[in-house]
Amino acid sequence: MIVADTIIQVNHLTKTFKSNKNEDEVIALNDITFDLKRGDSLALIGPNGAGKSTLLKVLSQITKPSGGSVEVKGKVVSLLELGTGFHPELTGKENVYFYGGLNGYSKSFLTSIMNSIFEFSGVEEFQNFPVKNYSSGMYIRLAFATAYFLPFDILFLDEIMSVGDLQFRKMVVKSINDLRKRNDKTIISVSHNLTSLLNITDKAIWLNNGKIIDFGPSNAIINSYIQSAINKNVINNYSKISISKFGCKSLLNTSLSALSPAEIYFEMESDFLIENLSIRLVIRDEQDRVMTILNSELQDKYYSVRPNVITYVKCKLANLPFLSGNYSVDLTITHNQMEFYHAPCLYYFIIDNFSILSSEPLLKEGVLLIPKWDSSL
Amino acid sequence: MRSKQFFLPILAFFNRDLSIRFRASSIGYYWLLFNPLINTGLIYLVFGKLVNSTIQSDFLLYVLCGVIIWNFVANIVSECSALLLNNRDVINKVGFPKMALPFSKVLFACLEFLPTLIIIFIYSSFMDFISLKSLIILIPTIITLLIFSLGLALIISTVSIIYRDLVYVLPVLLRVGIFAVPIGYNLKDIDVKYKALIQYNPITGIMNGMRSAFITNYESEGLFYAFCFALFILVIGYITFKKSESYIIDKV
Repeated sequence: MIVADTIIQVNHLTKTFKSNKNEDEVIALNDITFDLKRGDSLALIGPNGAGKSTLLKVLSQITKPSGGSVEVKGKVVSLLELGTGFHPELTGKENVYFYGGLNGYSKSFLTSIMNSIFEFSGVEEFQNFPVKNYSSGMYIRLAFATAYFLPFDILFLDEIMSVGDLQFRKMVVKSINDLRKRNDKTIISVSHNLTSLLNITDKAIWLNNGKIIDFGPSNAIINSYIQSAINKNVINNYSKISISKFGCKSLLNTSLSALSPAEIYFEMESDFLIENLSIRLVIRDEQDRVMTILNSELQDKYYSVRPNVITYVKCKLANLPFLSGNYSVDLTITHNQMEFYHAPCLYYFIIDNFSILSSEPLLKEGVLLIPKWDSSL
Repeated sequence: MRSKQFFLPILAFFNRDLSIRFRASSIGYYWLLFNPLINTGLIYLVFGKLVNSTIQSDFLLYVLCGVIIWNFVANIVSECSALLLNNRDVINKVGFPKMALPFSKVLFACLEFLPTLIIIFIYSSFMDFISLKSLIILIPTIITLLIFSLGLALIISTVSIIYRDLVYVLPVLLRVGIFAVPIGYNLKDIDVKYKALIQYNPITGIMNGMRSAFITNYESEGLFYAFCFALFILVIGYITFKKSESYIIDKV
């Protein structure tokens, strides 16, 4: 059994960049302190320029901290900024040797894992072509496969899921979860695809302007990050309505499961009186595909808000006909086609399916229906 | 384990450069032979035929021994001037000891050094100049050359990031430099006013070492001085690189 020991320790880390003539200074990371244990999978989230990539660069010892200390125990392999420094003129195979060599692995060892890498990446036919002829998807597949098969202790992944196709994203999620099960690797992932992050991490750090806003279980941190991202984007009309206590619950006092009654609810508040508000909820799956849209306007149901009064909105559903997985909800509130509130991915919910109807092995995507079987002569 | 972490990246860069360099050329590795031969031919023509030379020994061998050293140093200077800039992709994405880059360039220069050395061996044994006793001097000569080049590689790759002008200045310096070393002329023929400039150039000492290994009765004058100078350059280079490493990485 592997003892859960501390493998990354960051103490009051700061990192500053100077402008070309050393006149201006930008603080990229400001007093970062956290530690990770072997087996942890961490998500780094935050808006662009929050310092996520810089933190990964400092941790992978590409750049040195300006202050504070960073201690990383173990072999680091990193996939930063959509790639690995593969050379475009070299073939796929040569690049694996190059990248492996840079990371301190011998040629004979790399030869021994070469087949596994190409098999896993799915670009076997192109192993002797220069990578400049690869598509960006093929490139990132090979890069990920190479990193994955190197015997690392710590893996850093920066935005790798934004390039590949759906199948690749699934492959990444599956392989990272395989690593997590082994419980001896530490993984840090940066992504703006929050649904995917939710699937592959158990802790999260929310960064903003180089500071840690929050550090904790990824579920809670990611959801509160989303809430704040919404509040920040508010402009004009948007600021007139605020939303709180958004959620989705089962009406049977159990966890959400398919085919049982459920309710999506939230509270609206405003300093103004606004009437005839229609509510639109878009439910999406992990791949961001729209599963369904619930629009109150189509059923002639309108809401209103008034000062100092909380308006409760409840949307009851007889059942959720979805397969098990993570789903996100977008909320839009409009008044006479004028948007008063819009929030993509306002909330996540997870459906655990133990329904006998979903145990059909060929049912991988689609919806669940409850048929009534009948016979007639 | 630590030395492996340093050596394998050097090898990785070396192999990468090797594959890229000869990929698109039709005569491939033969360029390693043609380059020094063309250089030698040119200098032989200019100094041997156009200028009246006072060199007593075999002039072709004299020039070859000069060219092999000059090529090595010139190689390092031109390859290292934009070394970190050209590799910014790798530097920014993979954590590896950055010093591996200048080291790999010195290793690569050795590869280009070998064919010429073999030509010199063949030529001098063919002409029956070779004597085992004088060959011993090759060892300190090559060590001095390596130390000097390594120091130069470290300094140039660092300083050219801080002062990017160097990328434009160095090719000019190289063009001037070829006349500031006694490749095709004899030190004795130089006007006394400028003699010191060439005499205290460590490359002169290394060239003399090279020549004394193959040319009978040739003195390895200034080799020890060159060795001390090279060590000094290496120390300066190491300190410069280590001191500015973290700063450079954010600059490339």
